[in-house]
Amino acid sequence: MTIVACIDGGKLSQSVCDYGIELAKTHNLPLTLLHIIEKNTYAKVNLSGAIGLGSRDNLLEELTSEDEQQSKQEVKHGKELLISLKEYASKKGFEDVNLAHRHGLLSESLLDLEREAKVVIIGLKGQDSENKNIPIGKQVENILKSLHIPIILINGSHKPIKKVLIAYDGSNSSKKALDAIVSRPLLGDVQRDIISVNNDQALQEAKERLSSANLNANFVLLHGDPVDEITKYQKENQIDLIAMGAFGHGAWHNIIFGSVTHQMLIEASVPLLFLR
Amino acid sequence: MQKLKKEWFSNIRGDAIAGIVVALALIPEAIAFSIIAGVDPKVGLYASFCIAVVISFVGGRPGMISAATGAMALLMVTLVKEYGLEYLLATTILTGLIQIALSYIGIHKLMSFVARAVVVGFVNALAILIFLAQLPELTNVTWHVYVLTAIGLGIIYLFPYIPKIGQILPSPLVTIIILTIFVYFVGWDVRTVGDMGQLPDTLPIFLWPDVPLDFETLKIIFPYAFALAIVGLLESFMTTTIIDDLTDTKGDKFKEARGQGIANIASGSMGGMAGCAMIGQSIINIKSGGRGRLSSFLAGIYLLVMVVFLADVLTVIPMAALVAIMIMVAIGTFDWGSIKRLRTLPLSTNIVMLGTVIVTVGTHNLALGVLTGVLLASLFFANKISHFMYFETEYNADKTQKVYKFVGQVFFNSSEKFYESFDFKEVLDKVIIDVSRAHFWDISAVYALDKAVIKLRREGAEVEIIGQNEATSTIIDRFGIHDNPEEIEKIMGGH
Repeated sequence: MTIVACIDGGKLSQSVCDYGIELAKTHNLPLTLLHIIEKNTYAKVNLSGAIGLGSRDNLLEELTSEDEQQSKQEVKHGKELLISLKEYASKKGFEDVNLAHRHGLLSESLLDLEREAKVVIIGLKGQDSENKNIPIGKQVENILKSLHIPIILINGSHKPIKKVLIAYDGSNSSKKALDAIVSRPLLGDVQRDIISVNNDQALQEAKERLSSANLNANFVLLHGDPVDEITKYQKENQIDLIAMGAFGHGAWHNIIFGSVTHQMLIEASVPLLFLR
Repeated sequence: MQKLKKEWFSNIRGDAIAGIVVALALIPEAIAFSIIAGVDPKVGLYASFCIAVVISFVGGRPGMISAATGAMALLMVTLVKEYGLEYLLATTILTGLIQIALSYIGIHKLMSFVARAVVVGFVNALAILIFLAQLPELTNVTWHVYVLTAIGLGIIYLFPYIPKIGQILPSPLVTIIILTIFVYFVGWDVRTVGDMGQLPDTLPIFLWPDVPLDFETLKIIFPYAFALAIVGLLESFMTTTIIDDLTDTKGDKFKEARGQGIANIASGSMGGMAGCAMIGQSIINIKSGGRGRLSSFLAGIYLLVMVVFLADVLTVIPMAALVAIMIMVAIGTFDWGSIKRLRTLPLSTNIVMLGTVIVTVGTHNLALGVLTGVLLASLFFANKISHFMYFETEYNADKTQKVYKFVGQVFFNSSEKFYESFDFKEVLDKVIIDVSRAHFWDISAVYALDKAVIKLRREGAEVEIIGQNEATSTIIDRFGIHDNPEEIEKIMGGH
């Protein structure tokens, strides 16, 4: 098993690496730094519509050399990035770092790593998205939907995780979130606040689950809009991380009503741990 | 979801522009291929619209362009001549059904039997056929037509060299505009598109072909539909591979085969002829910056809009302009590198390629050409492999006992050689045949061994066979275990 930290050279990469080191130390596991080379540009365009002698061979040669140059550059850039973050980790006293450098799509590469990864850490916005006026990175939602392992989304600089909020609504994925924090401690020994919004029954259920496992936590019932209440509670109580189940109500519900998950991604100011 | 979104909308600008270039190139081709098939231009144009639009949703290779094609049109000629348009429409629908059925039985996996040389032969034969199909327009005509065609070709190939606008305006379009205006004002009496038959004046409507639904009809249309289905899938798979290479991505051949079927059913029920993926058009699309499903969809839409609203303009386009464009398509489709490589490639490869070309051009049937190519390639392969067999002999001290030790591949093609390795004239008390390092691939090999044993016994020798079980383990028809390195080592061991 390993802790996977996805880095792309964006502003959040270092913080992602920091959280990766923290979790790798907690679990005594190696840290894997993953960098993906995604190809996505079509540069030269010829609209002449004429094809002549050897058009196909020439076109293949042209497109290949374009990609080649771009890839070479990105491979070099990616390597430098990986090595610099590895050195950064060793400065912080952590040596057990693997480097993974792959072509393709981030979501595909993560699916390949799903079996070995205990948790995936990724920035809320990648390098491609950070200069654009969008709240969350283009690939985040897709990754949340396709992966079945815990994912931590980072949206700011690193702070040690001491106090964790678990948003519990009784859904299957939130039960998993509870399990992950409480009975199989993914985040190590932390203070746990279990929050339910507008749902006392769910909170009682959570209490029972914990007491039967002989574990301690604070239980809080809040009233109002889930996203507002949770973010308010987080700020007032200096919570370091929010854990929740992703897409509790199924895909169709989310398409029609918009999802709490999506809103939380936009509003939260601390890392979010998602479980499915 | 994400993948679909990417395939449709990741390259909107590029696809929208490439779609225009493709549509402009599709119009003359669709008209020209209709003329080859012997139907009104509107049949090819409706087909191109339907296929391009439908395949953009159900195809497996974004960035590939499918429409009415020359390869398919050539197969329809006699059907149209003898039975007429309605039977062609019914055939088109049946072609689609066959393609869907073939897709589900995994026809795309059979593509591995189509050797590289056959693919090259197919492409070259197709180019030659497209070119030959233009000859009727160039024979028994006045010198005006030659002049117009030459000017047309000149514009097509020289226009792109003009700085700035050369890379923005599609040169085939420029050719059409210049030649049409020229002929219109000079008043030369040359054939125009309007002389070739009816053009679309309305949007296509759903229309079930007017043929009797009985066994007689099936008997007529099935052979055509089957050949069309095979050729359509072949060209589509080949084009898929070409686009895969160009874009460094991977198409889904199963989905493409099924999609081609669906598109043909749609085309046949909307008054269009059968079609498939187009090598030339797909290259034009990629070259123009098209990568997604959107470019094929928009090409179909643009085509229909232009054709329906500009029908009057289309009728005055001189045929010479179309001929020039089709000659360009033929030249662009031809694999010129293959001619250069003729000198360096082995003779057997060249024979496979040329055999495919010759049979195709001779019969105007790409399916027969490919079948020839595949057979030739398999025979050459069998012949090559049969050389991988040799034997050693060894005597005991008084030369009354001889050991034949065989190493290599024994199968139908080398079994004769295996049998003749024995010296039956030699007087011996005992013969030991050691086949533990030979591989018997089929019953011919086993039969040859039996025959040799019987013959030796008749000459009075005692025969002992060593390692027959090892040798015959290759006959088994179970393929699953061959993925397992240990099993392969067991069977192929000792080499």
